[in-house]
Parts: sequence; C-alpha cells; structure tokens
Amino acid sequence: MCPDDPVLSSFHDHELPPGSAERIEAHLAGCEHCRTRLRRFQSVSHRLIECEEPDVEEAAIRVWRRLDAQAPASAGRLRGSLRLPIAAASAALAVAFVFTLALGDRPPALDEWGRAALSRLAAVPEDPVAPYGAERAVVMELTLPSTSEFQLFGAPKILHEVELQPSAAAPFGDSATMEVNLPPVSYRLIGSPVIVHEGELHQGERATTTP
Amino acid sequence: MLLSNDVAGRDFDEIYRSLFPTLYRVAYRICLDQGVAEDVCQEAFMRYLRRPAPLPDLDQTKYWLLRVVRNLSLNVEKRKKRELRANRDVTRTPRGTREETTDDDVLRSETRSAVHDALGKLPVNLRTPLVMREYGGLSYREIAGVLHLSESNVKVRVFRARQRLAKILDPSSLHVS
Repeated sequence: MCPDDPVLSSFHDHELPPGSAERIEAHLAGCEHCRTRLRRFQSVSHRLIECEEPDVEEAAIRVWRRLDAQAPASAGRLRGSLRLPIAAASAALAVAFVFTLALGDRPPALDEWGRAALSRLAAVPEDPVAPYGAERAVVMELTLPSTSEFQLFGAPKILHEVELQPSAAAPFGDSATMEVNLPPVSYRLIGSPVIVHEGELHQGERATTTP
Repeated sequence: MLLSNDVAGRDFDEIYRSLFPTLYRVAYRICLDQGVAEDVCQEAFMRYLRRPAPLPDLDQTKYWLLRVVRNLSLNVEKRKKRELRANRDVTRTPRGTREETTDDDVLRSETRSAVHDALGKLPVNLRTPLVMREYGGLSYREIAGVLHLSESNVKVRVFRARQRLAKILDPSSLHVS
C-alpha cells in the first residue's frame, strides 16, 4: 500500500522513525508511482534552495552597524565585533585599534599569523579608551597587508598584548611605527568597527599611516 | 557606540555570527523583502540585548530569536494586508481592467524569481514552517517549539506548503494520489 503524501513529505525531511523510513525505502524501490511523488517534493526543496537570495554577509554587516548605532552604551551585552571580510585585492587599509595591556589572557591557538604595520595615533580618542583606563591602553593604527589574502575576520578587535608574538614583545614603546605579527582572526575594535580606506583618511585626523 | 568587552562581548559576537544567517534567511523568505528582513533581524537582536539575562545556550537563543523574527514578520504581513486593502478601497478599478499589467508589474516579474513569487502566494501559516525547515534547517520538533504547535501539525503544514508550491511552480506535475 502506497504511503500518503504527508508521510512521503516527512520521509523527504528525514523525520520518520528508523523503522518507518526503512519500510518506505523498501516500498519506493519497487514503486515508480511513489518515486515520482517523492521527486515532486524533492524538486520543490531543490528550487527553494537554489532560489537566489540577497548577500547574507553584507546584510549582516549592515544590520550590525545599525545595532551599533542603536544600542545604548549601557546595554551591557551588546559588545564585540563582527567578522568583516575584506577583499583580498583591496588597497592597504587603515583601522583604528585600541591595544590594551591586559595580561593574563591566553593567546588564541592559531596556526597562521599575518604581519601588519602599526603606528601610534596622534590623538587618542577618549571614548574607546575609557572603559580600560587610559593608562592601560594604547591606541594604534593598523595597516593591513595589501597583497595577501589576509582577511580581517572578526576584526577589528581588542588585541591583548599577550596575543602578540614574542618578536613584538614591546610594541608599546615610544616609536611611532612598528611592525608586529598578528593572528589574523583575533582583533577587536574598541568602538565602531571603522574600517577606513587609506584614501579616505582626512589629513590631520589620523597619524600618518605606514605604507 | 558599540564597545568591545570581555567574555560576554565575545558571546554576543558569536551569537550574532552564528545565528544571523539563519535568522536573516528565514526573515527574508517570510517577509520576501530584503529591507524588511534586515529591519526584522535588527529588532530581534535588539530585543535579545534588552533581555535582562542571556539564554542558557545557543539553541535556546536561536529558538527565542526565531520566535521574535516570526512574530515581527507576522506583524509586517498584517500591515501589508491592511495597506493592500486600503489601496484597493481607494483605487478600486472597474471590473475587467484589474488584470492589466503596469510597468511596475513587468519590473517586478523580471526581478523576482518564480520561487519568490510562489512563496508569496502561500499563506503565512504554511510559509513559516516550510521556510524554517528549508532555510533554517530546523527539525519538525524544533519548529513545533518555536511556533508553539504540535509536531504533527508542523508535519501537515510543511506538507501542505510543499504541495501548494508544487502546484504553483509546476502545475503539470500535479499528482492525484
């Protein structure tokens, strides 16, 4: 006896208990009529999945920015940063970073490290630093590699000192510019995730970016 | 301003990254409008942030957010229907001319896919469980939990939605069992 349509639909969704599913499978093996009925459901699912949809990643970024603007500063849990992929072929990007000197965190287990140039900002914005204490934070500007497929996943983020490789153990000295090794997926921006193309920087607004 | 924070900050970051794609796909397929779907997701996450305490795990958070997305989408649907009714009252056309196509109609038909239109023809009470199944990857049990329905009801709704879509998308395949 052929199964009814709702049962075939459930079979298609893998929602039947194992015994029932096996019985349906055995039945389908010998019933072209039911295979045709099942293909109709499969065809609908296939067309739904294949249907073009808007770019989810771009939508995620837009909504995140709106949340950023809308969220009250005291919201408590609206904190963090969003994965913002950057086109590999894009020109050098400058990103405003706040580096905290918080110790005690363990560096993330990452296999690949990217190299990026840092330069100290001429003027330290008060707001981003305030939660960490001005004496414990250094605001730097990061210039990302422009040639590799370096992606600023999660960036910008707070970068803890312990997350830097030992070769850059003293990144907060007096020098205005330095090069450090950065894990490519562990940045966090303090403040809005402002990703600024080099050409968009206004004179005087930032310290000179490192080429 | 969005401020980074500590562990709690990473939690929201992860929640957003993990759940936004599913929420957005579901919202988009229920509302069938990109801008509205973004508004719905934004409002859902805002409501999540206003909760006094986080939910126990990611699954519970997903179900909660999907419920909010569904409710907000239903509100949009109701508003659209009200506006449609109001427009019809104002611009009621003589019998026989209602089917005439306008430039806007042509544009719409060119830019929307057949599937998109077909989904729009489904009543929202059938569209929602199907969308949660197909685009959200939820099981019948999960859909039942989100929509406060029984599993058997979800099963029937998903089937009916598929049946109607099959009829709309490919009438020649219509099967009489």
